[in-house]
Amino acid sequence: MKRKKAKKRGIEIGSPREIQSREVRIASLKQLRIFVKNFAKTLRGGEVIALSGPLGAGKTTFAQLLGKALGVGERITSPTFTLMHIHRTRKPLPSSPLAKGRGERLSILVHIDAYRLANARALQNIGALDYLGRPDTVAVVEWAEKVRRVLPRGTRWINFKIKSDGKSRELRIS
Amino acid sequence: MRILGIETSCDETALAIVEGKGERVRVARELVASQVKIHKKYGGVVPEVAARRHAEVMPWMLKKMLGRERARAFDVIAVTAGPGLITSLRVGVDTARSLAYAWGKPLVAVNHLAGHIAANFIDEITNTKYQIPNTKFQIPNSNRKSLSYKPFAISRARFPALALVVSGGHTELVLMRDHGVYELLGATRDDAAGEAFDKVGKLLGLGYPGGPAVAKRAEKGDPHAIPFPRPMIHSKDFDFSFSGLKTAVAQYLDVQHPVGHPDIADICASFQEAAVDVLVEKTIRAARRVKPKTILLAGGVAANKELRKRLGIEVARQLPTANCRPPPMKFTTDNAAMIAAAGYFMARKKQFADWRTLEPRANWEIGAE
Ligand SMILES: Nc1ncnc2c1ncn2[C@@H]1O[C@H](COP(=O)(O)OP(=O)(O)OP(=O)(O)O)[C@@H](O)[C@H]1O
Ligand SMILES: Nc1ncnc2c1ncn2[C@@H]1O[C@H](COP(=O)(O)OP(=O)(O)O)[C@@H](O)[C@H]1O
Ligand SMILES: [Mg+2]
Ligand SMILES: [Mg+2]
Repeated sequence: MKRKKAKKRGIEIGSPREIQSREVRIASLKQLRIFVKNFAKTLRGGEVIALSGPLGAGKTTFAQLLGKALGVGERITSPTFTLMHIHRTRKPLPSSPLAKGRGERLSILVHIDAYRLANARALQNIGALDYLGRPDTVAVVEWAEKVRRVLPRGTRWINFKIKSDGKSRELRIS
Repeated sequence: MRILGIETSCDETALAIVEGKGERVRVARELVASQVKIHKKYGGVVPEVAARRHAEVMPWMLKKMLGRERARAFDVIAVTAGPGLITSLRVGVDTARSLAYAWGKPLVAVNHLAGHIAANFIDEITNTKYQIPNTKFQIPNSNRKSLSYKPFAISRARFPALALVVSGGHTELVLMRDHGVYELLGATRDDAAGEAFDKVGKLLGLGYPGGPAVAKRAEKGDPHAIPFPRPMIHSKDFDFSFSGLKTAVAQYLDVQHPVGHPDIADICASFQEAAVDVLVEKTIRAARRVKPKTILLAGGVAANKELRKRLGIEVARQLPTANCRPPPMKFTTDNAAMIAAAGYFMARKKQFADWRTLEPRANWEIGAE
């Protein structure tokens, strides 16, 4: 019930955000990789990406692929227990399409997981809020609906749905 | 040598004094103040609350632990410096630094996972000379009644040793060439094993933590009922992956039981079988490579009976020259005795930290400087 309410608050019917929002059908991990790669090209630094959806929907997988696309060298694992991981991104080569427009600034990927958190305030406790919206940082937040209250305006939401074949997912972007 | 161990990496405030002599470590006293109830009330972790609680109880627990002897009760301070929640770690580390300065005691910084492994080196029986009266803090059971002293059946500390560390936050294979010398051979690429147990427990509505609940339901189920995947079981490296297994359980529930009553016992047993298969298989494979004399099991999931049993059987069958003994049950969860034990072996090698500069490290990888 709570969630429904939150959703209504999140997108207003007819608002520019509602018009922009779209649904993407992802048939396989390979397609997800391509999707994330393209998505990553739109990132300049300062973005917050909120991921929602049930257990096993692919939120961590999304974060891993995003890390790869942004040139994170180290392993990206689930932050469910540790709550927040901070990764350095590698600067893209000038020849790479990622380099275009990205400028010099994007250098950190923060990976947050609210699964175990009791409330939105807890995000502040772990110092996560300091990173949200920082121009050198892209933040990905799993179970973001639990901390919706403290996420900045302009947060990009991606809701994952598992389709019944098990391999494909529906991504709702808003 | 007597070591005061301090553990505040997550939501247990724990203190212990262990006595180390040669290769043996005995627990002299221990105290735990658990925050499980507090976090239950909030319905999740609140790092601020956890840290504040650690700080509140710390002086009182120290008073209980050290008694009239105070500084004379111990020789060295061992503290968990990571990995863990930074705000929680901070309390233990800063307490240890203050004591080290004020009383001029040497300080050792212990990696929490090294601590979990060191639980294997503790003699199982508590020396009851130092009985602590029951207080408002929860006192581990073994302190309540007196127990006779039982020496090791085997030496747990023949090196090289291979340790499978399985907890809520970690799934790692660690090679130990000696006390205090760790090399990370492999780790999970996504979810930890305990996390998978917890999330499967959540999917089945079994409450938190899911691990013990899933294990309990599994006892009555058929482990071959559902062919869940064994991710990465055949990969050549020593890494693990549990997200696919978790997702397979979610998928099974969605497709087979959109409504109605799923066969919870069978699902639990089949899931556990898949998880244990992978953990055991990977450990045996790593052992074939590094030829350890001892195989150790550590961390919260080491409480899983099926894992203890299967690892023991497979090591005996496939690696007859290696020893395998699961750790004492009571030291599988977070405690300070294991931190003090690891600290003892470090102090023996004079691997001391400086109170002026010691900092907690939330992501401290075992074996890293
Ligand atoms: N009998 C059991 N079978 C399976 N899993 C279990 C069992 N008992 C406990 N666990 C699991 O062990 C995990 C807790 O382990 P532990 O307390 O070592 O983690 P932690 O100390 O919080 O994590 P870390 O040591 O990585 O920081 C939980 O995921 C729990 O479900
Ligand atoms: N199209 C897909 N998109 C995302 N994940 C997929 C897809 N197909 C299969 N998977 C698998 O589903 C699992 C998703 O798990 P994970 O990323 O841990 O989910 P969450 O973080 O949402 O709980 C992974 O094992 C992944 O390989
Ligand atoms: Mg996840
Ligand atoms: Mg632990």
